[in-house]
Amino acid sequence: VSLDTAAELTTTIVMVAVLVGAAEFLVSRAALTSDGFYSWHVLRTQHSWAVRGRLTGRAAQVFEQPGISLLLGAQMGAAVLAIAQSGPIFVWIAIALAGNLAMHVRNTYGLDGSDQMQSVVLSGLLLFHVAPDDTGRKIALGFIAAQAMLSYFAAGYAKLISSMWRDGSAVMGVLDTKSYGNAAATEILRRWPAVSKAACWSTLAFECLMPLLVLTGPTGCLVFIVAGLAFHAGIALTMGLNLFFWSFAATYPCLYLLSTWVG
Amino acid sequence: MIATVAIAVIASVWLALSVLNQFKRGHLIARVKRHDALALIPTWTFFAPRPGVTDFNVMYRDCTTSGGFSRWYEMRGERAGRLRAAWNPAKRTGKGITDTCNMLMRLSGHNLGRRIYLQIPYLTLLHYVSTAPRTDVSHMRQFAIVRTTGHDAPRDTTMLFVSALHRL
Repeated sequence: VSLDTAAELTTTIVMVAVLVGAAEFLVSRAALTSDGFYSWHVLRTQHSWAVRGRLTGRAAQVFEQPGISLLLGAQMGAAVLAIAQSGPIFVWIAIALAGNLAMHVRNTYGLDGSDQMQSVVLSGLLLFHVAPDDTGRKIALGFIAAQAMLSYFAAGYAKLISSMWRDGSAVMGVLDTKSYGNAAATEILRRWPAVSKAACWSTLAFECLMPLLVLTGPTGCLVFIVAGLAFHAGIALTMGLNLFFWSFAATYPCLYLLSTWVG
Repeated sequence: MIATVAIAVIASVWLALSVLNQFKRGHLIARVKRHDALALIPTWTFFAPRPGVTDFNVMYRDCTTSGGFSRWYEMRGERAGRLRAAWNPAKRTGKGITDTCNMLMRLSGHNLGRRIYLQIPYLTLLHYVSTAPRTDVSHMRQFAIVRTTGHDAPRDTTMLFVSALHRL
């Protein structure tokens, strides 16, 4: 796989995450109004530059309605054009990244690891496009791959030192909530606690060990990719964390590229 | 050549800070994270080491002009639909409420006294409940954070935090 192919695939997949994420915010735009949960009137008080000074008006233009909806719309437009491989991809990536970072500045709360992975991937792609040579482009895509590896190892290590993950109660506990719960899955786990234990340990094993397959070469990496897609699809189905699937799958072309370098 | 070196430096520093942030060790990463408004330094320790196995529910009640109290009402957010595996806008506000409650609970352990009223999580929740309907005799409002377990029928209910009364 060439550098350009890996970058194109990564761009397409991460832009699906950007498109769905921005559309989800846009349909929830009532939450972004002055009467909503994410009211800029309240949230701006954490930034001194947004309360007084020259930037106050500009910040309000961007972060209040209709500015914030326009920003999300621009992000969606950039994502569609990038997926269609139409126009200057570099510009679409920059717009998508700017929108993502702006939401982090604005909201502080409510964003998750999938949003962070989008920022990482979009930044890596931006570096890829400004790189003057293949060495720079390799470093940019290698950075995305390295962050992906780190994300799985860090998540696995944090679970390994957790008594709730080791004793098998974590998955059952998480699924027995309104936030990330699933009534059918909870019922199954309640009836067969061994399944909960197996789910905990297979998650732990997947996150700690499977990324090592990337370092064994392309064949091992493909095994990891299939397992990773199944893992994130399962999480989307049971917990509703839909954007993690796209955000993390976007790193897989870069992981595959890495596997061809080391394998 | 200079651009390539710059890319290598940016990628290396970013990755090194990301590694340090997973273990939350040292003053350097704490200082960097304080200034990381763009959330560029990721935290990848999903649902660990302490997974969230409870829900935070935001409740409110009104003090009437005659001095009596209404019952507690729950702020009911949008619930995720059947297609949430692919399309889940409800999670945006839901996660925001969870994060805000978590942060307020952490702050409430720091004995801030009346300064807690000026903290962003407190103001966010106060603003949130202030948008709920009121009656003609509603005079002041307070909110509470209630922790529950369970998916469809919440159980193990614990009131964790009760705000001051605030004029409507």
